[in-house]
Amino acid sequence: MNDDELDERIRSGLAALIDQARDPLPYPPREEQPESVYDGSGDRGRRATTRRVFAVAAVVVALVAGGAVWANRSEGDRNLEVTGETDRQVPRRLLVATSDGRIGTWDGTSFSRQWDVGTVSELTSTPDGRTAVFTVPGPDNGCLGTTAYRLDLTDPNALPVRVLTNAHHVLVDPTGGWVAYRFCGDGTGLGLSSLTDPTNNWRVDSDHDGIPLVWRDGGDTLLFGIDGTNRTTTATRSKSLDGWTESRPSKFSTPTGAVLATDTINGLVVAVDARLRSDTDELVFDLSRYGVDAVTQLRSLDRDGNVVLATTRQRDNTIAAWTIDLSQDPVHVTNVPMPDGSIAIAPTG
Amino acid sequence: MSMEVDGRADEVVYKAHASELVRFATGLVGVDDAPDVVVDAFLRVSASTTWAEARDKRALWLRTIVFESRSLARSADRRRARERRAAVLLAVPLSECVELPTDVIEALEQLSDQQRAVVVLTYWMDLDPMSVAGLLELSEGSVRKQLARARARMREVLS
Repeated sequence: MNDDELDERIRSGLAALIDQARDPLPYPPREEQPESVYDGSGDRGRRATTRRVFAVAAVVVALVAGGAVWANRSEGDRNLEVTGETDRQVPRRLLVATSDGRIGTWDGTSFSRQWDVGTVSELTSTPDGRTAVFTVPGPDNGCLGTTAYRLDLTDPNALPVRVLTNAHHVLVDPTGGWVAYRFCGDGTGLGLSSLTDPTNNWRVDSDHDGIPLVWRDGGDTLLFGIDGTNRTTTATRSKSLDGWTESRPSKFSTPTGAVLATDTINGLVVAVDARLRSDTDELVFDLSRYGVDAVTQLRSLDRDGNVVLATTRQRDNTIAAWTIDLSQDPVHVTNVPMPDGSIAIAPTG
Repeated sequence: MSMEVDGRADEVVYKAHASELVRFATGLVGVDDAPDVVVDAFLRVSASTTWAEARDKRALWLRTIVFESRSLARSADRRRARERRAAVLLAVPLSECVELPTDVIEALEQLSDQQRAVVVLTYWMDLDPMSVAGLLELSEGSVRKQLARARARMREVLS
């Protein structure tokens, strides 16, 4: 390789790498800001402590309802060791759909990079934050006709691309390659569809009508619950990505079967209804005390899975987002303010 | 009052240069860590006594980013986290991957932090050795030497 060829390879390689650069984080104030902290001491929490947080935390809503419990937290729970590296406490960026038909990015204070997409019922994104997947309800807001779309978030002028129709409860897997969904109509079908190859699909017909869907093990395992039967069935994707096998019964069971899990919280925690719960029941964190009816998505915000973002449906039918710092004792729970008219939230990036 | 003015001035500096410096840091530490490194460097440098007096705050911030990238490389926890992320990346089907220049990334990883900074400033910012030397507060001879060593190492890896 001569000098010119070397220079060109370095130059083009660097340019390609740097083209992938992310947006900068919001301006970090040097002033200390108050943060809401739940101390877990009883029925009433307390507002305490100050610490350096980023801009969004300056407007956090105090969360003082109490009663959260970490059960058996220290015993045999190696995955919950505190590393000492806490990283940030607030999400860098959220994807938010609003009632006026827009999807945009929200950093806690400003709503930017918007796309007009129409009414959104569910919203999720790939882990790299480059693609949104959302559903638009069918006629009369029924499930039939519900259509899932993907949207390229790196292109401000991108238009939604249809992924599939008559499917709901979409959830992108941790690799960002697949979207899991439930079929409308018969209420018993479960499917997976490649986000890039619409001909690459996987479907199981079963009696499973439990929702929502659950990804674990870095996307190798899909859990789907069975409402009210205390059982969950797993489907395992083969490593070769050329097919899926279904396995049952699962080792995992829940009181209601309504399960939402992620493998991003130290690979362990599963959300059940309004609680965050591990599959070994070694820890439980009860969000219902914050008006949470159901956890809809979880995503790790730091590198070690200590800080997670939970998006929730509230009992008053609104939506909300929370950061939960599992490395703190007591655990920090912070409400993330949402823009007006928010109807769906997805962690992104 | 003066603190508020300082704060606003810092915010102006941050907003003016953060995007560019995140791209610069991406060349040093990769896509995932760059925004963190830039913010960490800003917090560190803007709290320092030299910040208020600095005539070229962007250059001071840039040098701190190079310093922070060394701290990042020394952090075992962060190294492990990067390895985990790499494992996740490998799990993504090829068609899903953004095309990253893995050979160039591998070559960059063979360089010292200072060599990497010199390479990024030279090849991405198109700066001549004198300008790089000014930014990094090195002698021009040192920059030329670092660049020659970096090119030799990268040639080995890329060949």
